[in-house]
Amino acid sequence: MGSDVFFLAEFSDGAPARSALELAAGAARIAGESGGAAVALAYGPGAAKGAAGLGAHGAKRAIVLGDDPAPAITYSGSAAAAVKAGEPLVVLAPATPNGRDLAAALVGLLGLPAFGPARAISVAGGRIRSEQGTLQGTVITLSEPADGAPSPAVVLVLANTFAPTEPGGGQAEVSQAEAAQTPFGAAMIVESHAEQAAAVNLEEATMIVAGGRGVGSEDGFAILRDLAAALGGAVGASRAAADAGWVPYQLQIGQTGKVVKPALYLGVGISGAIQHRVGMQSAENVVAINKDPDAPIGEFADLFVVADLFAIVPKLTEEIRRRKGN
Amino acid sequence: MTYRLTPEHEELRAVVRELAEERIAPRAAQIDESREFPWDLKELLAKQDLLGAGLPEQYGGTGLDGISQAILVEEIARADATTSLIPMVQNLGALPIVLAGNEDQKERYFPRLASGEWLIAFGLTEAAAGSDVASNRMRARLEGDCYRLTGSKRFITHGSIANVLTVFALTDPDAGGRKGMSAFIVEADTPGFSAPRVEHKMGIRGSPTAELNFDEVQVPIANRIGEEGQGFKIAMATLDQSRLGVAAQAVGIAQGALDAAVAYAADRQQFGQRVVDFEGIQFMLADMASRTEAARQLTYAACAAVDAKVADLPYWTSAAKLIAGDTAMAVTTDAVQVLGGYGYISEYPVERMMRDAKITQLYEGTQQIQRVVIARQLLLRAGIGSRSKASAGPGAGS
Amino acid sequence: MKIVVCIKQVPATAAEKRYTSDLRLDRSASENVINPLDEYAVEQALRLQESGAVENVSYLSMGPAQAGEALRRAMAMGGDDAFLVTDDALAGADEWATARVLAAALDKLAPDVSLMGMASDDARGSLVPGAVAAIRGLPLLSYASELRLEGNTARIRRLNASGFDIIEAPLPVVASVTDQVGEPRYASLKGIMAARRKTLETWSLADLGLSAAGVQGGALTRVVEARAPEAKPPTERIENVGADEAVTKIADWLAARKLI
Repeated sequence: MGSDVFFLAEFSDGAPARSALELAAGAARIAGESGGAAVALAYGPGAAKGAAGLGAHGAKRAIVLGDDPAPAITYSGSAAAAVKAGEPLVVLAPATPNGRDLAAALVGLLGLPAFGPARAISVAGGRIRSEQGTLQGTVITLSEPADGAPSPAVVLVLANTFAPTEPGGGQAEVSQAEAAQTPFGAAMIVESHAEQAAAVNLEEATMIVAGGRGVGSEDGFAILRDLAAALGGAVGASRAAADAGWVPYQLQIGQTGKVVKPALYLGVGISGAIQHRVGMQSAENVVAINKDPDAPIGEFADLFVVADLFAIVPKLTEEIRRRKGN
Repeated sequence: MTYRLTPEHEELRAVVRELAEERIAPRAAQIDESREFPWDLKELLAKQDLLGAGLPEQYGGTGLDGISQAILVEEIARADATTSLIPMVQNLGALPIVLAGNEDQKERYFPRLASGEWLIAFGLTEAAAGSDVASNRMRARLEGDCYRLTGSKRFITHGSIANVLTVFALTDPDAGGRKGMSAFIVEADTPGFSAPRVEHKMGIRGSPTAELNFDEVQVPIANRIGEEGQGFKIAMATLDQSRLGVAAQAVGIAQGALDAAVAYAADRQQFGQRVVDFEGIQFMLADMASRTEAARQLTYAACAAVDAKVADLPYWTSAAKLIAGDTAMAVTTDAVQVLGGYGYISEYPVERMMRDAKITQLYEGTQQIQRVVIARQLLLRAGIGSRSKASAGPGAGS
Repeated sequence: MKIVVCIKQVPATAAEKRYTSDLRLDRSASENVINPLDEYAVEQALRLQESGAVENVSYLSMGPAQAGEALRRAMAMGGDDAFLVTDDALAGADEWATARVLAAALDKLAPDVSLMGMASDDARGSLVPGAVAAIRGLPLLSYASELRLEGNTARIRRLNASGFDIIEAPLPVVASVTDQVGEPRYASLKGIMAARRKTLETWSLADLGLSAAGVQGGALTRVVEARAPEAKPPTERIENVGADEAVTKIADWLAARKLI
């Protein structure tokens, strides 16, 4: 069993996804603890050309799995072969649908212990340790591979758990993975539809303004968009707002939607029911604006403003613009 | 009288409770304020096969045992008393046919009632004949192969929205109410039938309580239930069973109020502590809880008694309805008290629950009538003849 | 055409949950329900059965004996029969062990589609569908907001940040669905009564040709510590002030934390 830290690096449209840069930084840090190297498993359009550039973000080496715009899981065969050959200590995967699928395939193909989504990863006694919230965040567990478990461990990592480092110099040493077909290759994307400009990926956003039932209408979300723009962040929503059709489903945060981990979550007109809370409870700072002084969100927010959101939000947007302008 | 709650009972409770909490409770305040019958919830209950509980499977019902029927009503009433009347009255209206109808009548009407496609109501009470059923005045005159019904009824739950009603009228006025009354199945679209007004009420506001007019309404002989002159007996036998629906409703209302009071008291802080930590409040909640449980268990025992067809069945059902109705009124009143000022305003549900609870002490036999029934059974058991006034009988207001 | 829906019994979201002293989830401690995300898989399977695309819908679960309740509840929503894999050796099973066991059971049942919800409520790992597909050597159609069967092909619609993709694979497949497939139905009373007459078969590891050693004693991972989350400082509240003052206070608060 080695000490290298492998991580999945997804590319799309020729550039690395933000998750690739975050995991590069995280992998480099953990590799420092384990005494090994951070190694990228790069895949997706632009991977072949861009893999070397991951060296500037913390990767020592990069193994290119392939360049095609196929579902990520199609690369699991070559990923598994690379993992078997490289014998790393751990494989980090982003907790996105693609990352989870690829991680799942590795777990199934190689019979590996799986952890996460991790809020912290460390090395102890030569083993990976993963800290995660379970049972809707009511219990924090620290886990590690059992005695005699196969290696490596696979750990899912949420966005915003690691911060990308400033790009330094350096190129990663690039190699090609052995192509390996799997039955997963039988699933093909036959149509691709773009319905709207790709919104800021909610799972990667560091600032989120989320609206709920209190926003009242599709038009009501306009002031939230302004506030999000002023903060440099993204708009999210509770299930009630998405079900009402005020925002597209992709903006829904919660048990059946996205799990987000922003530095700032600003919930507006959201009551804070548990089904929503599980999607945003890892946020570093939670601010809530609600005219109901007893709204459940008031219990776990860091700052709770009891006020009419329509009176506060536009003025807040203006004030933030003013301060940033200075 | 012994009974057992089975895993099937618990499963039914869990399923109905989920439905009630997710779909019925959120509508309760609005139904009360708008005083509009919740047709959407009626459709939902029909779709979930919850309107045919008292009808045999062979006609499309689910043929549930008495306790299951009580649990069904109880869990809906916990969320909203108005909505719980939908399965209750569906059962009440059909009972005369269940108890005394013939095969042809059952085949013609039960399937549509079981599916919930049709609603049925029970037309017994008149303006001048509430507790004193025997002084009903509505006439049914035989003319060839059909009867002509003329008269009016009052306080008929769902009378204005039912597709069909079981109606009681005098075929032999000279014989008096006890011997001269007959029971009929009347379809609401028959010419001469109308529901000219509905009442404004203290509670159960989404449930239309109607005044009905019959003007020479034609009813075929095939729609007479049982023989001429059996009407009073059929009505009494119906109420002996249907009052358990009221008992179950009362238990549900009480439980809903208790749950609301506990939740509020656990959240509200005064004088630096949670209201629920004051012993005075705990004592109130304890009394509310134990009384509700007692009412519940007595209701289930009465359901078992009905299923077992015990000889003193009215003793059981009247005792259950008496205890449960009084419990609902006491518990909801105390729930308002626990919430203090907030209990009085409509932002919180307990004031509505208190207004809803009152009817359980009034309809399908007032609490006073229940006591008459129980006392008579006691005397019978003790072998003491009752010095009964010939005209005193258990009455109804429905 | 046959679908097997894999469901998991989990503690109800709002209930109090805890780990036992040996750091396994104490499943008896709270009200247990069908994992809410699996209910969408049940709903999708039943819609396909109602439309005639599928003849047979079965349910499969791995868990302690009381997981049979979740299977009965699923059968009350619809479907034909259910299978429960239960074995003491599986206590505390992790994702790989779960996938290994489900894969063996699915191989035995050989459906055209093995259908699951996209994640489980209590552990949120969501790796089981992919791992099962890998072990069984089948294509994976994951995160479907709609599943259709056309001839010998399964087709899904998967939403992404800017729209959606249509992804196809030849049967048999493993698929997972999101909550966009449609609201799960309530079990009707007749459904509940009918479910009592449907069969629920119980299998042990031996019935699947697996041994405790073969599933690595049930867990490749172990929990070293379980604790309550860090206590947060009490919520700061801004109330009973005018809008301008509130806005200033909020902005100051954000600035103090370098968020603006």
